Amino acid sequence: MENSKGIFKRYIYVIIPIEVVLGLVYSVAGFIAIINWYLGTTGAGEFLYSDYIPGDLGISLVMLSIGFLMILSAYYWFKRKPVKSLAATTLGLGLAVAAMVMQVLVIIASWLDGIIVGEPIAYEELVMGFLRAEALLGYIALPLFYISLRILSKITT
Amino acid sequence: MARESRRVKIALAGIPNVGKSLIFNRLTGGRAWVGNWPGVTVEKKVGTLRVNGAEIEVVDLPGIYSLTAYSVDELIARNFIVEEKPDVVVCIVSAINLERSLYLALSLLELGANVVIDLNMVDLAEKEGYKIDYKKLEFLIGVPVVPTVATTGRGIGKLKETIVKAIHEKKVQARIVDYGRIVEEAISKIEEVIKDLAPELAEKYPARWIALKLLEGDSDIVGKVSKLPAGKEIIDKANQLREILGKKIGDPESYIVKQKYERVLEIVKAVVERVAVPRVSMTDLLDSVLTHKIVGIPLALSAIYLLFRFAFEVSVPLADLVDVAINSYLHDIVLGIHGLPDWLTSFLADGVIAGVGAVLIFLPIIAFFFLGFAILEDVGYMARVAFLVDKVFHKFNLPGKAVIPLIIGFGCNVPGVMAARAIEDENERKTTALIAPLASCNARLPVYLVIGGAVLGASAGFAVLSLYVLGIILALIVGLLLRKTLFKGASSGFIMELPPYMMPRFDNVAIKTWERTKRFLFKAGTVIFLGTVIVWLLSVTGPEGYLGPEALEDPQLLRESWAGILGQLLASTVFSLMGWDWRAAVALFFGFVAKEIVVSSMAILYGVGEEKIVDVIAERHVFTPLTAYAYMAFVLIYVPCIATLAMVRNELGLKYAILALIYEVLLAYIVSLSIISIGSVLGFR
Repeated sequence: MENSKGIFKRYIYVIIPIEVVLGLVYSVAGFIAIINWYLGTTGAGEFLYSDYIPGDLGISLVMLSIGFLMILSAYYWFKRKPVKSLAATTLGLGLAVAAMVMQVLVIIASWLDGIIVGEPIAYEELVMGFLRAEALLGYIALPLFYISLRILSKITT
Repeated sequence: MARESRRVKIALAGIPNVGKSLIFNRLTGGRAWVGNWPGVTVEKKVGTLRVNGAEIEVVDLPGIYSLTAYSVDELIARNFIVEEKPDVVVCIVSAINLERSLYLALSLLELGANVVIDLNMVDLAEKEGYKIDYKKLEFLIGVPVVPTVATTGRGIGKLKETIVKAIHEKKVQARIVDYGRIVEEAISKIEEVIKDLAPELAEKYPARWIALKLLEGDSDIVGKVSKLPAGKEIIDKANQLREILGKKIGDPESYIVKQKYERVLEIVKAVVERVAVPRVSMTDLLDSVLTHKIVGIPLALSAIYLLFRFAFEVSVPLADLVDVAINSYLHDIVLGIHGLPDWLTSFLADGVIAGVGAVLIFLPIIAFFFLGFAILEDVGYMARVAFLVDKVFHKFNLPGKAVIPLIIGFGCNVPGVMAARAIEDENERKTTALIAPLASCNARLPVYLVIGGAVLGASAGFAVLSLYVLGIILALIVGLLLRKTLFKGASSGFIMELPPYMMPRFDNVAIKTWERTKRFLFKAGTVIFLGTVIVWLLSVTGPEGYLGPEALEDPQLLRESWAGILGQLLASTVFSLMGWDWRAAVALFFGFVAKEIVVSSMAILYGVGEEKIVDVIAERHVFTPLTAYAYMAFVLIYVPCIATLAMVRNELGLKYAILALIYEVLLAYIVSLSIISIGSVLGFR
């Protein structure tokens, strides 16, 4: 059986580096969502990356929380608090996966709704829904979440 | 035998979050009759256990820690055990929190109950490296102990067998705790006095328990005894002994609690063995982040945001399906029935179908909300949310648990008011039930979207968000005012058990979702249906008599209906300072029935379909941005709907329903007028 040292090695070499990058991307996307929300409410200009990032305060909060947790995880690691680091990692990735699943469900719901009300959604629109920031980044977070859950289950009761 | 002439009854007791609901569902198959305990608004759940062809009534007692007179729940539990005398009390004990659970078990034994111990969550204790010798526990406390795992159903069969056996072989262990010679002598003396002077009391209650309670100075028991003819003598004797004991052992109540805890610790020490080096607990690890005072809050907000997305956006196809089925097919079918008088066709199509349809369209949103909420609850996360906001709510003299009714209230205020039942302290519970309607429920959203979209343009999104925030701020302020005036008292500390995180169970989540959705359907549906019929009647009749269904399509004719007259009266008097059109004013009156009716009423009053109302409001300049925002704020604050008021009456009584009605209308008026006045001064229009 793999010992906890081995498990943590995989954690630091595989998850932490990707997570730091992912955390920064989430944070930037979260800030852009705030800017887009501001642009939307004031009509001050065109949305930034409008196809990928909505002007929604709620989703910006989710993305900023994910980004913060991922960066916090790296911070805990460097502060030699590996268990806390793993907790932040798992929760950050878990929230990322939840946001992605929700976006996918919303797209499926919109597609079904279009059929019900007799106004089918265009194929391009559906595809763009699957490519929205929280979905796109969530696909990357999914395998990492699986790995972090496995590590977590090995070291905890 | 007299006993056989009544139905066999068992009660389930346990500390909160010990898995009591799961055990109840396991025993009864999840089918329960839900009502209130007599005289209070604490939920009572009753089900039936079918075993070996026999039917046993299962009563779910409130989650409690002990049997003192300090909380309504504890009083309910002990009064039920003493007065209803259940054949068996199943005490669910947590294997991972044995000390606290056993304290309740010993209290139940002292009360003279025929107890069966259900040692639940043994799998978690094993995972944490503990082994519990349940046979030894059985020997030490003298009643049957059955290890179970409620989540998987392990041991449930054995538990059922043991319950049946215990019904026939009653075991009472009232002397489970030895309080030491001095106290035991005092107990014996009071017992003798009770048996001599009030034998009827000794028949109803175990004399030893009464003696203990008198020594503790239990207010409920002292009150009950003092009403007896010999009550004064018994109380005098008890007080005399209390005084003597006080000099020897200090405060008798604290001493008795301490002794009982020591006995619990003795038992725990004897039966619990650590067999493995403990690993980090998953729950502790996740809690280090989830309950963190800084990180925890945005995470909770994110979880709630995703819950709302799930409820509002994922349920859309179902909501539209219901809409199409009711407002197109059913509506057309009714209109297509030949030979019906006009008034009956209008009554069915515009009254019954429109009314019931208005409720049913929102049913998928409500069901999805409760589904998501039940999952978060089952995982164990909602308890953490309450824990996180406890500090903030404390500043407003409210308990952290008050956040749950407010969150549920975002979905629908009816279950939001009901959810206040989980709060133990009566004053806190009443306050929370009265402020829960200030949470902006999903029925208000269509009003915001229509008016915001028509008048506020790009600022609509921010305006809508600000209304949600305004609702919470007002709820906290009103809560503080109520706690400082009508419902005085210090805010209770956070005593909610944080359960271990677990995978949600499908059956448990399904049962919770169904129960809550069903309540919404039946309680809100019936009231809204009746209300819609009244609105229809007021719209098709006037001083001239019956105006006909044409009034619903002809704005001029509608002016002559009772509804039209009322709207013009409102607009020219109370709402004259607001600058709202009479149609908007009468729509508020209709919205009293249900908020979603505000939009459909405006559509009728402006003589257009709901899909065109946004354009009409924009084109006709019905509102300025300032009056529109004030109108939206009014919709947020004034009486939520008849169903919610009915629920407040149901939970707290007519007096409080009237209070809710008055304070909400006044508050709505003051806030809206302030928005218009301050906005005008600041140059908005």
